[in-house]
Amino acid sequence: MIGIILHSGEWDRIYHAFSLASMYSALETKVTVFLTYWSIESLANGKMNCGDEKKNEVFKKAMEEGKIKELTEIVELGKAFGNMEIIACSGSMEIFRYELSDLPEWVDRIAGLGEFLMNTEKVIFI
Amino acid sequence: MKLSLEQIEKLDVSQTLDLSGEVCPVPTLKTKAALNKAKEGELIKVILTSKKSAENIGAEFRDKVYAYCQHKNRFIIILKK
Repeated sequence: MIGIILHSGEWDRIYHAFSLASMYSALETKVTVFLTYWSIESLANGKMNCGDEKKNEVFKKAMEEGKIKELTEIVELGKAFGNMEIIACSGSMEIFRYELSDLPEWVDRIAGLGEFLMNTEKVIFI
Repeated sequence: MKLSLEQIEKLDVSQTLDLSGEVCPVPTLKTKAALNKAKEGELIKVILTSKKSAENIGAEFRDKVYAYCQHKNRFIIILKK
């Protein structure tokens, strides 16, 4: 199983993490995205911010041209292959005081770092 | 094998994927989903308008490429399950 720890709240990194996860899932590799800290905050408030104006402009233009999709589309494309789970880190959820219902419905459940790492051979940190 | 547009249009395909304007990772994700759905021996027509995406699909599904052609800025790849 491949683990992707998504720490960043920057939208380009979030989009990259889920493109990576969806591709692993399409290639029949089990993958789990573990949401922590700022990624949870960005997904909860849905504000798309790449961290600076120049990046935001590039991202916005690429979306208008259809080259970058809505995040939900990339996630659903990946989940359809059945090899992808999305977990919110229980510690981060408590720190930021969010409930599962505050997050997009494609976030499967809340779990701890230990359980996540126990099932994971390789971890990618974004 | 490289065919003419006319020859490609005559092929009996079970699915057609119009991926015009799509860029990585979407073409690979949608093509893999279509292949998973197809039955053994069926042909899938994939239409792309980005040379890079066409090269990606050609490489990623190398063992399934049955025929292909380029017509102006349209790249058509026929995959066989």
